[in-house]
Amino acid sequence: MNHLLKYTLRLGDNALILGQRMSEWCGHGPFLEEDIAMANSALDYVGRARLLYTYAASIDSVKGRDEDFYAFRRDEAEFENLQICELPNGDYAFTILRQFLFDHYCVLVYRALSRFDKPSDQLPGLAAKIVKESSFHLARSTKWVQRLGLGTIESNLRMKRALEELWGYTREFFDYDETDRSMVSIGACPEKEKLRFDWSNLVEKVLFDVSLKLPESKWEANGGRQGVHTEHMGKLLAEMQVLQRRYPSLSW
Amino acid sequence: MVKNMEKIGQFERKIAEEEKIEPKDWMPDKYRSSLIRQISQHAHSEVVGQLPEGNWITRAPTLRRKATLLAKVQDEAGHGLYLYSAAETLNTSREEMWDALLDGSAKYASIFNYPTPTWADVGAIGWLVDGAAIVNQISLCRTSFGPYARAMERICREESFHQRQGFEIMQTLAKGSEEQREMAQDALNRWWWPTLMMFGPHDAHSMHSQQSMKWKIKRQSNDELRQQFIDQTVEQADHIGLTIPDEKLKWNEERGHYDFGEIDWGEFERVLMGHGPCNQSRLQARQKAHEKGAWVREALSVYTAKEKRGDFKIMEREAVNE
Repeated sequence: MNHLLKYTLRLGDNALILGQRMSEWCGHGPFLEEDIAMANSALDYVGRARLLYTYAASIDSVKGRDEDFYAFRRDEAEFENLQICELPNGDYAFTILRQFLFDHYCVLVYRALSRFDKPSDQLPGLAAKIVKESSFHLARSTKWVQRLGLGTIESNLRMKRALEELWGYTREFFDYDETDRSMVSIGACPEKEKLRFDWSNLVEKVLFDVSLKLPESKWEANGGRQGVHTEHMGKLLAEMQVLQRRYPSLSW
Repeated sequence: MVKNMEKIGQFERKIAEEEKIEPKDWMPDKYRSSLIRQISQHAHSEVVGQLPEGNWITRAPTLRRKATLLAKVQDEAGHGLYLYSAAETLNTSREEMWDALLDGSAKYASIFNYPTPTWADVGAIGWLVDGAAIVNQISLCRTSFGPYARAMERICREESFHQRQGFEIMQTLAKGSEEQREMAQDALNRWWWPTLMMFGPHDAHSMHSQQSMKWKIKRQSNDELRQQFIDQTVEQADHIGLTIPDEKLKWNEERGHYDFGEIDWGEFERVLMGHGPCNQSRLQARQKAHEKGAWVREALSVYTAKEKRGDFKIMEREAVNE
């Protein structure tokens, strides 16, 4: 599989798997306006996955694949999303903090992709649209990090716990492999150290301002890009893919 | 006393002349309380109604269906929001209405107390339940209270998309494999009668109907609306080759309508009184979300108060001084 295809599918996998998690909140949010906002963001993520998968299908050397093939007919090891996307939602602090950490990663990664100079290719255009959406998501999740970080003692404590759980998973953002390096070489992906620097700068400032200290734990997740997943992934896929697996090759 | 009679006279003249009653206008207490009851029930139905279809968001069979369903369920929450706002113009608060939903004293549409065991239920809800809701809501676009009428116009536009997507799901299943066809027919069998019950008791037995019709809160009777729904839906079912589970269903040339079998009013009463398959779980899901969200709402309100007081500006200044 060529690097561009692999890279696109990984971005699609991140979007779908996190979108799936976010959609679990629909109907169960902490209040009505927030229920609507979270569902709306989930919808953006699912929409993003569809765009990326459809693009992937157009460059896949195996013809006849489509968005639903990638979403519903691949096995766990073929999904190369980052593990942070598949973790169960936890409480609202965990959900919001994950969005914040991931939204910022998205802004940086898609911004580089949108500047990728590949004439007559639709990928930079797609990425530009996603950057806009992600910037909006980031503004929203940043505001929530402030509210929960500075709200009550309880909300601050919950944010601390969420940060401790999530931090090790963010290390995967910078766990580049050959595909990422190949995308860096053509200017479609931020250089690893640059990504780490830009991401850490903003994230650490926002967290510091709301009295959240970076965890000391040195544990780091890895392997998502190689199809290695947490124990949660199998269940997520079993649920998401159930109809396509139970009744293969039908129209819905 | 004379002044009061004048107010009543003016109110009744407006109703007679099809002028909308607006929140600032004088209105009889009973008109106000009837509207609060009806609009808040309607709002509750939207937010409880998120749950049965929400049950399939994570399992929708294609990405297109997933996106559409998610958007639809989100729309329902949005409808809840407009309706709570419309009710608030009558001098009640969202908190009061929400508390009444959570403590079980307020009602919501009984139809949402039925379960969604298969994907075809998502189609059936869109096609039948939203279809029935539209018949009712189109009629309510002419309701006498302005904010309610305007909320209904907006909601009707979105509901017609919902109904179409539900019908399309059913149509796709009906012309799919044998298993899919059975799934669709089974869902129609389960949803048909509860959908007819959505229009409420026969006119002769409807508790609130007469006064509501007089005040033009309600514009058409339960039986009229039910008949209208049946007439339009029979043809749709025929079109996609599904069979409506009513042996007595038959075109009546003389009436110009379909005749149909008797509704099981015992079942209607049981579900209304809380004994439907999902009464407990729907309410619990709402209570649980409310309880789990309590600390989030509290943090938000504390943060907002601090922000208003300017606490964070002081912090910023201190940070600069350091």
